[in-house]
Amino acid sequence: MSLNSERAVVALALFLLSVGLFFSTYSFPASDMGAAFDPGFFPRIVLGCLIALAVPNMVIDLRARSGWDASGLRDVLFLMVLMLVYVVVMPKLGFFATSVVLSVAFFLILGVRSPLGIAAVAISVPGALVALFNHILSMPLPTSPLFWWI
Amino acid sequence: MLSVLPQAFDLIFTVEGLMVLTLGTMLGIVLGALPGIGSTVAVAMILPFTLTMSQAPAILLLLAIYAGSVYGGSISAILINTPGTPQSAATCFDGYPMAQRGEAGKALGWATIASVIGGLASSIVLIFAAPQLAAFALNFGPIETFALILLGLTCIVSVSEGSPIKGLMAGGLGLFLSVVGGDPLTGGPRFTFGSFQLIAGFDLLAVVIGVFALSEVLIRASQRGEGAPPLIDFRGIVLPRLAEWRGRGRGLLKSVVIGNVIGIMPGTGAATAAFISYAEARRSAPTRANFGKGEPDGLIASESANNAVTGGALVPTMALGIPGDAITAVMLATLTLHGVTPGIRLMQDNPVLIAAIFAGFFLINLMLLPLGMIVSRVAAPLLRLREAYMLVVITLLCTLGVFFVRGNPFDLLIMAAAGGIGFVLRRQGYPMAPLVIGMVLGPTLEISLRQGLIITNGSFGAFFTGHPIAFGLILAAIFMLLLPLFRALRARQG
Amino acid sequence: MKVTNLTASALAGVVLAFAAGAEAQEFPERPINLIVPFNAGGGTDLLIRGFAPHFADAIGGNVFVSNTAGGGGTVAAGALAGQRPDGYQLGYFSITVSTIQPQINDVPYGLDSWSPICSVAASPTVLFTSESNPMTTIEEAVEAIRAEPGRYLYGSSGPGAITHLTAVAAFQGLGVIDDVRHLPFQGSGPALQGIAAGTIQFFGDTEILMQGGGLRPLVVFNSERLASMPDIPTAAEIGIEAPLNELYLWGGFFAPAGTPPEVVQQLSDACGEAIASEGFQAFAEQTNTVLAYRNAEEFDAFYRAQYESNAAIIEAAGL
Repeated sequence: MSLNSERAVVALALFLLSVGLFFSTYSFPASDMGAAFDPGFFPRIVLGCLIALAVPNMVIDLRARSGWDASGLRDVLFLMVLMLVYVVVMPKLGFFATSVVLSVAFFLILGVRSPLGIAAVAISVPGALVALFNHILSMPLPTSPLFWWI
Repeated sequence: MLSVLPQAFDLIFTVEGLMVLTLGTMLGIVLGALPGIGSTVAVAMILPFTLTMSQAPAILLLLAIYAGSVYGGSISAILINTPGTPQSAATCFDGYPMAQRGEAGKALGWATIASVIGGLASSIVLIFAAPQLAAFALNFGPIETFALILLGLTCIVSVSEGSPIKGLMAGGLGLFLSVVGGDPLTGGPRFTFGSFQLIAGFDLLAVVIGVFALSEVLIRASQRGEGAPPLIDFRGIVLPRLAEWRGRGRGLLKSVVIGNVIGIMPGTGAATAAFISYAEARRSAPTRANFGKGEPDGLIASESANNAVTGGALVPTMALGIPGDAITAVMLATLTLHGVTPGIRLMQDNPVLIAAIFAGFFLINLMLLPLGMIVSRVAAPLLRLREAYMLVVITLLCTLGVFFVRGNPFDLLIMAAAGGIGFVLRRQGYPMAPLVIGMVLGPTLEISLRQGLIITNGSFGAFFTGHPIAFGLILAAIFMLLLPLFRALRARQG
Repeated sequence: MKVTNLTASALAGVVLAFAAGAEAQEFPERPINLIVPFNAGGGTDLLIRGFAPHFADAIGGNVFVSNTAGGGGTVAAGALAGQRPDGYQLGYFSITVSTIQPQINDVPYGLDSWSPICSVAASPTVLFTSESNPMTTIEEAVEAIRAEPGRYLYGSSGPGAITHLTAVAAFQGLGVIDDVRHLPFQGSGPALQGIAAGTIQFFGDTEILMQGGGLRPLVVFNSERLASMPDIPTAAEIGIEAPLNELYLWGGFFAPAGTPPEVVQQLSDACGEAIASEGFQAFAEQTNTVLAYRNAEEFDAFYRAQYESNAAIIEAAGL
């Protein structure tokens, strides 16, 4: 048994997470009106079951020898960071501008090199969505601080 | 009901009425197919347009959007493994594997026919038995609901064969995600770690879209360049031949009944119905060994049940004036706005209008077939875009859909995080379907359990005495849990 | 808010934006956003969507409605509280969002986060029971509760909701709060199903719910008896003392604190004009909405008084 694979690390993390969350339920404000009114009542049942499952799961995964496989992970990491930045700034800078940047960056990471294709999709799709939702359906997506219509 | 049908038809068969039915159903299918724009958002988008219409067309438009969007959700579930609405999550289990095999058109064909049959059957039930069924639904208190949801949860076991521990863990994680936020009984914060945003809890659709759609985008990106399978080959719906239906009739009937019954219960909904129906089919269908690998019976179970719910959900709404979910609540509000008082006298006081609504609902379900074929024929070329383009479009649509659910930027962060975590977990063999099942059923499971305990003054034993329906359902749940064990034992002996 | 209108104004906006800086525009120079703190399709959403076109006419600009749901309305209020106070974003908050939630939960806004604009609606609440219940008056109900303490349940649509507060105000005011038990549901729909099925015996909400039938009113939390139910006593008549004797589900528009007074005034006047308009009056009648306009000044005083007096109910509810 050893921590020699991605699978084992994930299994261990899930176990530690369940245990930590289980004990954090004891910090909930307790209720004097019986178990049903206790906020921790149901979460403790769920997390107790999770711990009971996480133990055998961890034992199995620590014994298995599946090793590491990092192929393709670099792109995924880039995409993930990009996505996180996008969802944070989109509500502030507006859907259109940020979506165009996101699309172009996505294409570059995914290896698309056709400038025409990139431009067509990256501008027309967000543009069409903004026109449809903001201006036809009156269900506005976030707009930029500079121009309210986009 | 039958005697007023001629007058009801006068209300439907007008230029406005027929236009509303056709365009509304079509729009519903399109909106349902866009990931994230669920039935509720679709209905809300249309609501302002109904304000200027007269009674019958206004309600029919909402119904058309509702039925159309429930069906439309299955299109994206099958073609891009992204349930357009949570109730289509179970459609992914067999629909997407079929599509990956190159049978996308056929999978949609099965789903369409199953949806139409489910919807038609439920509208017949609605026409003939709404008052009686509404009275029956009142037998379902919190304790019975708890037992029903427990039964629904057992389908986690059946969708995670092969790796039962990881499946159950994913289900547990889903249940856990559903309890984060304000306690439904006391309002106190749970697992919010001081974050105000987390008091509102994790939005279901943000997590579903993250773990299904966004993680799929990441997985495809990571497999790029090593002979990744091309995106789905789809050229339109291929309807199943009559001969192919042999042996599937019983399962279909069962799913329709499940969908109708669950639709009538308050606070359960189409997703629950689809999961329970799928689990039951997986237990009993002769083809159960192929479930999860692209078996039409799985698709039929999920799609016929979730469309059968639409009619069932209208039963308490129309017969008692009590809305079971957000969509039927919108419809009641629309009725009020048009001078019709919802409530227990609704059907007696407005027989013609109600007959028109029910008959229109039947027509809408009938039209799902031709309109579904048209919409997917038009959409097919879009799916033949280069994979990279598709991935970008999917990502943008996911963002848009999640934003529209609650208009809360925090949900976007949840979606992105769920995508990353979903990617890691899926790589290590944790199935995501159980996570969604847990999250869908978690809130109802918790509140019905705790309500039941309040009613019985804290005695769980009292759930079994004096509640025969609940007792039966709990026994069924235990049986479903132990079934794989029995089968394994018998296989070993034989 | 017709499509053509919007497209035209979008074009106009393009022109204006380029001209911006050249000359100062009068308020409003771009669309005003009315924020509904719940999902689209609910009662509040419907009210605001009915109100928006009349408000747009009165203010002389474009108005659109958006929904931000979650946390019983607090997510929307929390988000709005930090926004630029320029009068282009108005939240429609109810009694619970603006005066109850800040006192029971840790939310990022409070009494002084707002420039109140105007109140729109205020419906008195009513406590009712099921028609199938033997008790026909509030006195009989109190007797039955005293006879069997702990047997009867009152429902609510969630902790801290107006439905919860109504029942608490009634039973606290009558001195039997410890003899009845609380069963929270998730929303009014399931709670109504619960009262129809006999799971709960009491439920409190606005008069609108009564139309559904099958319910029997017991007491109204209004300053006088309601025209629609003249036989039902007010809370004060049966001995419920202030501040528990009157409870209204009211709502109004709030802008972030620090909004310029002249903009507040303009919005408040437009709000009054919209409420008085024939179209909105007809809309309110159809939807059984009880309108109650207060201008910015009156609403500010009312809001602050409510904030104080609701503390008593909150304490009684044990929240």
